[in-house]
Amino acid sequence: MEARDPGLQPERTTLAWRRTLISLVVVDLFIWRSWLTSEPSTGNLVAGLPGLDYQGICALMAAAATIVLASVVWVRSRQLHAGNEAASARLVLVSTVAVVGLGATAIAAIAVGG
Amino acid sequence: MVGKLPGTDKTWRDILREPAWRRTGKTPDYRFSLANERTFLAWIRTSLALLAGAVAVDQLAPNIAPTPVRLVLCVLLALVGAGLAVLSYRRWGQMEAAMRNDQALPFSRVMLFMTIVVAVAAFAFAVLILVAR
Repeated sequence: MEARDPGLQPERTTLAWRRTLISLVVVDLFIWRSWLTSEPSTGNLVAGLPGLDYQGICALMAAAATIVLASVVWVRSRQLHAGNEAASARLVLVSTVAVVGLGATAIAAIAVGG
Repeated sequence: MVGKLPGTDKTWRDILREPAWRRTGKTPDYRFSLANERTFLAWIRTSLALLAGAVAVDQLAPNIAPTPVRLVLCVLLALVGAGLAVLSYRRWGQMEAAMRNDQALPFSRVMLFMTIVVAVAAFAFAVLILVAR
């Protein structure tokens, strides 16, 4: 392990990841609120799951994205606690995909299920 | 689990492996790598803020504009948000590739673009709030 960074770079990076997770939770709260206050759907988008509209899919996606990002933050915090190694492209890509997926379902929920 | 992706010779394992540019040049100083990572996260948060704004305006201010106008504005905001998330990953990769090969950091119009988007959105919502009263 390297000497302690005088600029506290790993600590700042860990906090940046946590801040990002908190931002995602803020988006979640808006999405879940709009899902809970929307009128119950009679649509049948997915066979076998009546009542699941785009709002519901968006709410599920928000939960999934949060779980994914929370796992990434947990892994990355542990790495940064142990040393100063750079993030693997996998972690960065997985976080990006989670946010883009959430954006796509949010667009569907606003445009179709709103 | 490791099936071929449709239309390519790549497998899921290839996609998840470290990209080829990460094995070129020399590994940058960890301080630069971590700064690059924090810049990526800052852009991701900007993207999340745009998504939150789109959902919030759509749900909490239903009378701000006629429904079609409101929907178009909110979908545009969410589209920019999702696009910005993709751009932030691309930029993270470009920055690190440049550092690895001792090249100048790539210039990008993302900052100018985002400044214009936020300014126009703020102006549009200011006008809508005034008119809606």
